[in-house]
Amino acid sequence: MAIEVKTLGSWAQTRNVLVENLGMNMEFQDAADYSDDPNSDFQKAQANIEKIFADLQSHSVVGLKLVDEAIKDSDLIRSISAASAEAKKEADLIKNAVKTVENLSKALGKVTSVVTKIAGLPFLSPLLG
Amino acid sequence: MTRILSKRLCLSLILPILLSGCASSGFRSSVAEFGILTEATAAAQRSSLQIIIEDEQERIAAALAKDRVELVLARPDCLPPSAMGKPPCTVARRDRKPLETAASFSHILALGSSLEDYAANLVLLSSDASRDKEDFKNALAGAANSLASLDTAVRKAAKVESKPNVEQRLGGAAAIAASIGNLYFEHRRAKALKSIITKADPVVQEAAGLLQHAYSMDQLYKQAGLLRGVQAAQVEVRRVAANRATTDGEMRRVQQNLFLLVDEFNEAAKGADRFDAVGHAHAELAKAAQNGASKEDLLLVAQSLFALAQTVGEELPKLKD
Repeated sequence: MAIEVKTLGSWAQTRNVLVENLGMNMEFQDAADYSDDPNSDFQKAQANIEKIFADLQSHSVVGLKLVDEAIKDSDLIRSISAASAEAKKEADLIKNAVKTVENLSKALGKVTSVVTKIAGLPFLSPLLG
Repeated sequence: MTRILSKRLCLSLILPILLSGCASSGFRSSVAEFGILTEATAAAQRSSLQIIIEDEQERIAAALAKDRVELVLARPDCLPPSAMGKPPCTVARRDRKPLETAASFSHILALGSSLEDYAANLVLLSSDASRDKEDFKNALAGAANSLASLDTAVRKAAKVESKPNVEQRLGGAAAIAASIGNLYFEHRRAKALKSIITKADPVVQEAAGLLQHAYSMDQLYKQAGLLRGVQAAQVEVRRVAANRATTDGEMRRVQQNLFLLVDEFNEAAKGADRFDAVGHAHAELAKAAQNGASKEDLLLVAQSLFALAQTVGEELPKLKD
């Protein structure tokens, strides 16, 4: 079952309203003549625009918190970590095959030296010969 | 009869490995490319979220100072533990309103990290491993040498005449064994990759979907910030234009600045669907894995990887090679 982010729909609606307001205020400001006067249409629109930028950023943070919460309530991290561990295990198994052959080589070397030593023992010569 | 049977058995074991070799290497290299791109995507999101976390910490600290919030030590947290205190000691607002703390987005970051780790291990498992192959060849040659030495030692001890060219013959056998062994490892790598990717696909799709939501929100945060700068530059153009006393040079400077900021804003808007692209590429890999990685499947995988690379902004010629 798909993991749902709670209230994501209303979050998106609010975002759209904010963006729509931003567009309207920008349009309103474009239509107004430039003025430094805080009571002018230009500066009033500017104040609204700045407020909307701040609101958009805090709304983004709210959305991220919703997603964070949805992940917390799911089993996703554990499941992906399990798949990751499986890939690592397989890679290690293949790598270890080389080590196994190397160990075989070492074991053969040890047996060879034992055989050589035994063959060198004087009392064994008549038995072997 | 036994010899014929064992030859048939050998062929039946080796042939599928030999035949699957070509498709496997195409599949493996696609997995490796997917892994590298996914790692880059997840790492980019981590650093991007870090900026928001720091901005939030700054915003909260600035608001506390601006509102002249009186802070007090929470009790009983800050009483001595030996006298009914319950550390760790924390700070609270005197007006008893909740003290805002910056979000850490720890679960988004953890999910991104686990996806990054998964991708890294796919790269590890799918790697060409030419060094591993060389090591394996050398290890087998070493084992053949040791076996030849043992053979010589035993024959000497038993005073049996040594067989001629035993070292060369064993060495030759080791080289053949190394080639078959390496083919087997290739086969095993591809088989494991296909199984892991197929099994993990539903979970990767969920993760990519959630991370895409997070990424879109993260982008909204950044774009709002950038647009604020662009809009301020536009207001500056209008201010300078409204003032008849300003020079053409001044006018040109503010106009150029606006063009520059608009370009930056457009540049930052690229690659918005990157986690969707990760999900799509993984789904194509899983489909190819289930269908035996035919040429057609691998072509679809390559297309999805190309789209992913475009969103991540990696150098495209690397993928074409």
